[in-house]
Amino acid sequence: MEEFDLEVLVFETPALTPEFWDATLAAAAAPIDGVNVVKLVTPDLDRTAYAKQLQAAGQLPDILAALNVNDFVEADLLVPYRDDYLNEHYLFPDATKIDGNAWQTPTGGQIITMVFYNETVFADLSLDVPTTYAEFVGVAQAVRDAGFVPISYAGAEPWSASLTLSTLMAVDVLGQDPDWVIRRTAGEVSFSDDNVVAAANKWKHFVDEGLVDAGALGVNYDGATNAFLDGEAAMYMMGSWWLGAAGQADFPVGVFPFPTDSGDVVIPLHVGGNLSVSALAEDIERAMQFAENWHTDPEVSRFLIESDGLFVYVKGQGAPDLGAEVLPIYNEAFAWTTDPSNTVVPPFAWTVNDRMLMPPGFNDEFYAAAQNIFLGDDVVDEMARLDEAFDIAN
Amino acid sequence: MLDVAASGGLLLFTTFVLIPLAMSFYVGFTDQNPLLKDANFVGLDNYRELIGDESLHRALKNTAKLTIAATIGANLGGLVLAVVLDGTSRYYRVLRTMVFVPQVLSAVVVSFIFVTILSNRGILNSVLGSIGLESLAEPWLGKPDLALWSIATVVTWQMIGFTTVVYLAALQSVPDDLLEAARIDGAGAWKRFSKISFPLMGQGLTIAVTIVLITTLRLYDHVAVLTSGGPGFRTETAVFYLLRMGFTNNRIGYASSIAFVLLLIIGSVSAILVSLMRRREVQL
Repeated sequence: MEEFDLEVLVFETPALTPEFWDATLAAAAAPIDGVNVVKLVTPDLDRTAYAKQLQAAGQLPDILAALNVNDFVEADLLVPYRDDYLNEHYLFPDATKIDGNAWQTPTGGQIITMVFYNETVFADLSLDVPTTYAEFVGVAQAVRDAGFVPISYAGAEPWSASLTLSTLMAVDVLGQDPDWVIRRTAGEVSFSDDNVVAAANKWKHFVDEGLVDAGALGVNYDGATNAFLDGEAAMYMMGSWWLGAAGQADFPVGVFPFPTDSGDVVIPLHVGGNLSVSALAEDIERAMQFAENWHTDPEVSRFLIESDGLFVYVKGQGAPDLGAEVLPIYNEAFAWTTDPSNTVVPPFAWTVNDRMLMPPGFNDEFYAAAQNIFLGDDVVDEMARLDEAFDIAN
Repeated sequence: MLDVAASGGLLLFTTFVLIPLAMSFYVGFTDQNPLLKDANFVGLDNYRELIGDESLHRALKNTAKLTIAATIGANLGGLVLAVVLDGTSRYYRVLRTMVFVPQVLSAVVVSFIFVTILSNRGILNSVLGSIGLESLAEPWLGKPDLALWSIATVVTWQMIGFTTVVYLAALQSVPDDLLEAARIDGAGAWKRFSKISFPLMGQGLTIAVTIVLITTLRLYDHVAVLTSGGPGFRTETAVFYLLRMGFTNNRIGYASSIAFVLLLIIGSVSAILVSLMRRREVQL
C-alpha cells in the first residue's frame, strides 16, 4: 500500500505531554500500512483558531485534536465517525452528535467545574462541606474571616476566568432549562432574563464579598494551582481534570459539587472526544482507522484517567477495568455523574453538541464578560452586551 | 548585472508584498470565512462597520497609548544608555552586549519571562513583600490600566537594546575633531552633547524612532502572552483584534478591511514622522 504522511495536529500541556502524544500516535499508526505520522503542535491552547489559520492557508491537517468542531462541521471539513463504531465502543454513543453525526468521539466526561478543598483547613475551622449555595457562601466567608483566600481563582487566562460564571450558568440556568441555548438561538430567551442576571449576580457577589482574591485577574492557571497547593487558599474551583493533579498536595484534598440554592445536585458534565478527521485528508479511510485506533487504545484511556482525571466512557476501559491508579476523590466525583438522583447538564461555553451550539467567537465574549463583571462592570449591561454579541455572531 | 538584480528584487517584492496586499485589499470587500472557499462581495459594508466598531476603536486607542509610551521610553532609554556606554574598553563592550541581549530574544520568550515577574505570585510582588513594601504589590497584569503600562514596559525593555545600538553608532560617527575643538574652547560635557553630538545624531534618531513606532503599531506577541488581550478585551491591540475577528469569529473579510486601515495608519504616521525628522537632520 502506498505510503503517506498523516498530519496530526495536537496540543501539549503539563498533563498531555509530548511523550504521551509521541507514544500513543505511534501506537495508533503501527497496525496501519504505510502511515507516517507527522505531529504538529499548536502554538498555544487555542487549537481551533490555529486550525482555521492552517485551513485558510490550504494546510488543514488530516487529524485534529480537541477542536471546537461546530464551524468545521458547517464548512463540511470533517468526516463523521460511523454509528456502528460508536455503538460498539462507547457507553454514550450519541453524546457528541451534531445533526445526527459524531465528529468527535464521546470518549469521556469532565466536570466543569467542581470544588476542591483543603480538608485540613476545613477541619481546623470546624467547617462542614456545604450542600446549598447559602452554606457555600457562609463557608467561604468563614474562611475569609480566618485570614485565608477562600477560593483560588485563575483570572488571567480568559477561559479559566470564566469557569465560575460558566458553572453558575450551567447549574442555575441549564439545570432548570437544559435547552436554554437552543431557545436563545431561537430568540425565545435572553441573557437579560432575570434567571440569567441572577446567576451572573452570584459571580459579582463572589467578587464583591472578597471570596476570590482581589488581584485574581493577574493570576494564571499555574499561579492559582500553586496558591491552593501552598495552602494559601482553602478551595479551588477547577475542572475535574485537576483530579489527576490533586495528588501533588501535601494535605488531604476533598471535593464537592458546586452547590445549588435548593441543595439539589446539578453536575456540569462535558462529554467530548479528542481527534477529528479532516474531510480533506489524503487518505480518509486510513486517517479514520488511525483515529479509531487511538481512541480505543487502553493505554490512551489509562493515561487520560490517571493524568487528566478523565471519566472514560469507552466500553471496558473505565478506571476499574484498567486498574488505573486514581485518588479516592476521582471515584467520588465519578459517582456524582452516575447518581440518578443528580441532574447532569452540559457546562456553558464548553460542550459542543446539538444542545450547545454557540456562534463563532461567542465563547470569547462570554469569557470577557466574566472578567468585566470582576472589574466592576454592571451585570445587566454586561448581559445586554452578551445578547448583542450573540445576535451579531449568530 | 544591476538590472538583473533589480528585476529579481522587483519580482520578489511583487510576488511576496504587492500581490498579497492587493489580494488582502480585495478580501476586505467580501464576507470571506477562513473555512470556506467562496465569499460574497459586500462592497463597503466592512468599512462602514469598522467606523462604528467600538471594540476596534478601543483597540486602536490601546495601540496608540502603547506606541507613544514605548516609542518615547525606548528612545529616551536607548539614548541615555548609549551616552553611558560610549566607551572603548572591554568593560563597555561587555555591557553593550548585555544591553543588546533582549533584542535578540523572541518577543514570546521575553513575554513569558515577564509573566513570571509580573503575575500576582510573581517575582516583583515577592520582592516587594520581602522588603516590607507589600502595600505596593499590584496585579500588574490583572488591572486594565496597569496591564497596558506593563505591556508598554516590556516592549520598551526589549526595544532599548536596538535603540541603544543605533544611538551608539550615531554617537561614534560624530567626528572627534569637532568634539576636541569644542573641548578646547571650554565646552563642558553637556554642551558638547547637546550642541554637537545630538544634532549630528539625526539619522540615528529617525531610524530608531521610526522602527520602534512601526514595531509597536503592529504589536501582537507581547499582548498574546502577557494578557491574552484581557482582562475583558481591555488590552487588545488593533492587530490582536483583527486576528480575533479573522480566526475566532470567522470574519477574514472584516479582518482584512481592518488590516488595510491599519496599513494606511502605519504608512501615514511613519511617512509624516520621517518627513518631520529628516528636516532636523544635520549633514556634515
